[in-house]
Amino acid sequence: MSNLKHCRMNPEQQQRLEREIDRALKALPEMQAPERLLSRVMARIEVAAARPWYQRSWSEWPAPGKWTTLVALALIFAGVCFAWWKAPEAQFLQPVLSRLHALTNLADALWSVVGALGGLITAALRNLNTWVLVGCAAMAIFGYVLCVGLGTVYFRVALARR
Amino acid sequence: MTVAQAFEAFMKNYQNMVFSTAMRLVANQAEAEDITQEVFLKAYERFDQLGTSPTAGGWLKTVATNMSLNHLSRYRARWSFFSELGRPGHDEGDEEREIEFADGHDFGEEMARADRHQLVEQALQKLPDAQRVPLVLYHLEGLSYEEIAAKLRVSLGKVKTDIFRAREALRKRLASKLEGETCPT
Repeated sequence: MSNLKHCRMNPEQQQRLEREIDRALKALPEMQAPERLLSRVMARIEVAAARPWYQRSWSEWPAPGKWTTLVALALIFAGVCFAWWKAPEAQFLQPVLSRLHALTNLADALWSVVGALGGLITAALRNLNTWVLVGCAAMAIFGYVLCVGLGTVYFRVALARR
Repeated sequence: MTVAQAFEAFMKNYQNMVFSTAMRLVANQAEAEDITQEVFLKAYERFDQLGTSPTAGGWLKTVATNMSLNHLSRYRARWSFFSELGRPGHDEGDEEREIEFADGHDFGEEMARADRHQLVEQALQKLPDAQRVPLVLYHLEGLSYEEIAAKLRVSLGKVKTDIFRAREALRKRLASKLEGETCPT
């Protein structure tokens, strides 16, 4: 039998093998589901049924609840739009707006710093020797390949099924 | 009969079929159980339609197949590179006994024995995912090569190659009538 393991089959033999495999697989009976499966499913169903309506997904809410949330969301959206429109005129909002303005200035300053650092790195790369850059790239590729190799070993050894 | 009782009866009718479908695709009992559980939880949400539908079995099988494939694809993108790397000597030294068929006996008669079914099942479980899944989809789910390629999002050539390799791998484990023949010279 071992000398046939590497036997090359002609198309007729391949078709016969396909028929035999097909027959063998279709003759397989259904596998027995574990007995605990039914109790697990029924337990999940009971837990889901025992939840109050507001803990279920929105699609399962009663109609009044759904309409209430839709109206509330519409009002909130309208309120935000109105507040955004009228905010500059509201005296009580001035401290908040000035704080937001300060944050915006801070963000601009941080972006300037990032831009300056980026320019510094670009200038450094332009002035570095080409072979230094090639060496760094080679090291990065080597590190990636090493990770791939270690992952393969891990996959084969740790996760291989018996 | 309450809805819960009706659903219990429904589940008892179909749980073996759903579990078999999931198990033959994912080849892992715990994962197959989880998938089967999720299939029936989905079925419960639609039980008012499914409970009396003649197509309930087909619906369950389709959902089980899709869930199993989704489960596999969650890991396939991450591990397919590693699993597709060459594995020399994968079947060498395998002490699992192989099926032997008496010369001249009908293959179908031999395969009717329960222990042979178990051996076929074991051999199927031991196939790598890339071979077992298209083989099961082709022979047990009745999908065409093109449908399998679309479902698995791979090329048609890869599907044909993987199914061919799966059959070869099963042939190595299972003695058949063809094993008794000599190589053509």
